[in-house]
Amino acid sequence: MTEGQVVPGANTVSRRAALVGAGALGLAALGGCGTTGPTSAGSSTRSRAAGSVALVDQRGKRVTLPRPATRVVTVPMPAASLVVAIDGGVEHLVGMHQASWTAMGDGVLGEFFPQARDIAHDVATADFTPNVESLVALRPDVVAQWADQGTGLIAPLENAGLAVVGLRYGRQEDLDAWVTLFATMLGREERGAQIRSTMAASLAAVRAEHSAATGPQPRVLYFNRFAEGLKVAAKGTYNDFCIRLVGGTNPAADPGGVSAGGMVGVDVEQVVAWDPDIILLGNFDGALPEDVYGSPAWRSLSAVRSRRVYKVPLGGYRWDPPSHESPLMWRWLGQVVNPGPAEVDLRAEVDRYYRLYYGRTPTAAQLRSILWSQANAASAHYEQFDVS
Amino acid sequence: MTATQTVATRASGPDLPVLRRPAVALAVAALALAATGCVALAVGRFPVSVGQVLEILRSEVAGAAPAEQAARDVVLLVRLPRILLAVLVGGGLAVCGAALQAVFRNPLVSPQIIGVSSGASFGGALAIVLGLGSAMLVGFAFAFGLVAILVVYAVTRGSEGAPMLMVVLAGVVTGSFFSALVSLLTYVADPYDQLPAIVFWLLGSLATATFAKVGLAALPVLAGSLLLVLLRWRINVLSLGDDDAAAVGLRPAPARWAVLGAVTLVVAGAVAVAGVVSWVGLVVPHIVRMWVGPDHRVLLPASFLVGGVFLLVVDTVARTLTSGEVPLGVLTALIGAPVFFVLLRRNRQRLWDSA
Repeated sequence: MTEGQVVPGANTVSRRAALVGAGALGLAALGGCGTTGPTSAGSSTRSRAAGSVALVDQRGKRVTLPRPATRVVTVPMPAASLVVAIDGGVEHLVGMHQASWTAMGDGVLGEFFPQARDIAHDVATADFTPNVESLVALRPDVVAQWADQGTGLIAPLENAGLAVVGLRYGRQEDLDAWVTLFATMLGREERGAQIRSTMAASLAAVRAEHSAATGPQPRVLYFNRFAEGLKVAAKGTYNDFCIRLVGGTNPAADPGGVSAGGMVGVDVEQVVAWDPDIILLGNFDGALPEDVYGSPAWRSLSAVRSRRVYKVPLGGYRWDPPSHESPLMWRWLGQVVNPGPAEVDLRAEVDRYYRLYYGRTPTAAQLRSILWSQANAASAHYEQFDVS
Repeated sequence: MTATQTVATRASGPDLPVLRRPAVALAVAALALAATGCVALAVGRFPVSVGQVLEILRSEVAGAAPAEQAARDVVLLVRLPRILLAVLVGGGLAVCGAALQAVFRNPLVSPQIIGVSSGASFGGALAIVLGLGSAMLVGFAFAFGLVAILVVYAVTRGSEGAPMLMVVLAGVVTGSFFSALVSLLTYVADPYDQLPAIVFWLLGSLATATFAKVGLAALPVLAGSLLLVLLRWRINVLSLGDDDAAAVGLRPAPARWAVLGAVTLVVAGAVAVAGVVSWVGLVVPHIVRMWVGPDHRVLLPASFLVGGVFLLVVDTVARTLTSGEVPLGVLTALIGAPVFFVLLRRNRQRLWDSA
């Protein structure tokens, strides 16, 4: 599964059902922050037994740990930085996927937590098949693994006697479920509740700001891939959710868009026909705004003529797929779509969240790198994010 | 010597039906290519009327003020390079298939058989894993296509006269080896950014066509195809088998290597810009052979033209059928396999033996 994509195996019906469920869960999260959620997949309760932890993962399977985990291994890529955020550090993360490790080392987390470089990262292959022996050698209390890519990824771990938390991905409520699961298994439920309520408050605030806005809604097109074949975010993607949240429309998901959901390959001509006002380039390839501005076939697009092509930021994790840093994505995208005086300063918001997650704030240079300030410098209104 | 007799009667052909006379067949194929190209220029997801297309072309030729910018860019910068690339790749692969089927005297041979496609695939995938740009991707694909044929050559060199079977075996082994290396690369590639790029590229696509890519592909594909057409006499003789070729005074090994060299040029060039496009090189020569007969003086140029039409039609369907893009390699196989099957059923007699 490509990250940020709706589970490919899911058929339309189950996806729709899931979205309905998503709405209900979202409401529950907004209404009852800090309270114990219902005992459904993705929510969890602390068992009464002294120190022991019981949770229900996203497969619906009950997992019991004798005590809160102090040795966690994550195989899904985005899980590693979420563990760091919830735990407020890297000392309980004893193993992660090679790609998480590289991303952490290259990004701001590597600068915040230099000791992350010493964490084991030979736990799975590129396609997430676990390397059981090296995993067992790490003596993990719990292993986080994909639950939506067939049983072959989880069964070998459970056969080896390891406790496995199965995860799904792609939607806002999956993110909330992850926060709950990870906080529970780390024995940090209050922190999990705090993170969930902070995120829910941000979501409500962003939604309120943009639902009040009137006037034409800009057409925003997100490119999951640009360099080798174009892929745009259509119906049911997290990117579509973010675009609508801040008052934009997504031509790929509107009438006249593509019929399929998820990340869909399109040709240039289709993009010219949609004529988006704003183009977002994701962090799954190296494409930069200058590649769009420099390509003759794209020059007639509104987004190119008004220079509104932007590289999506990359902080403790990529901001385009759902992550604990998504509230920052909503703020950033809100200002990109509706430039002008902002109710909340992005810099202050980044500081607030980074202090919550990582216990420190980025320097001006780190923030410029997170926001791709140099690559986006030639794009309209980007000076509003200027930090000195 | 039935084949020679057939060749002789076909070539002299005044009693053939009009459509199967060489000059007429080539003219028809060329016209079909031109017509398909014009239609392809006028269809796509962006609405441009035929009248607008003609207006754009006219104003471009006359150097007049451009028509509506978006329509002009779509027709000239998006569709035109893609059409040219489809014709180059489809034509090149088809002419290679026709030549290979003759020199190996085997109807199931296609350009994949000599290992060049796999070699070029590996080169391209390697460039993606190493994080090199598009230009390097083309260069790597081309270079490793050449490496593959050199390996085949090295393996068969020791044996006297490089018998056909040795070349085929060496090609299959080399191809498998490079396929394994490609699998190894997909195994180590980053699952989020490199793997999708490799898969997209391996499936074959013309979606990234630009005039720069057309320029890159044109030289090897046209040069290789021209070389094959120039070798048409030798290919005719080689298609009789090594013993007969030797009997009429042609040394089979050098002639065969000349053909393989030309095929390598074309296939490496095609894979470099469009990934692996299967079936064209296998199916098109059979269709054309049933139409114009086995004389390679006609078969080779006709294969180029018909191959161009075939891939152009498939690619136009790929980009217009849905608003999403259908992978080209999937469509060529989906269309190619049933067409081949029908041909086999209908023409069991004529397909190969006495075409």
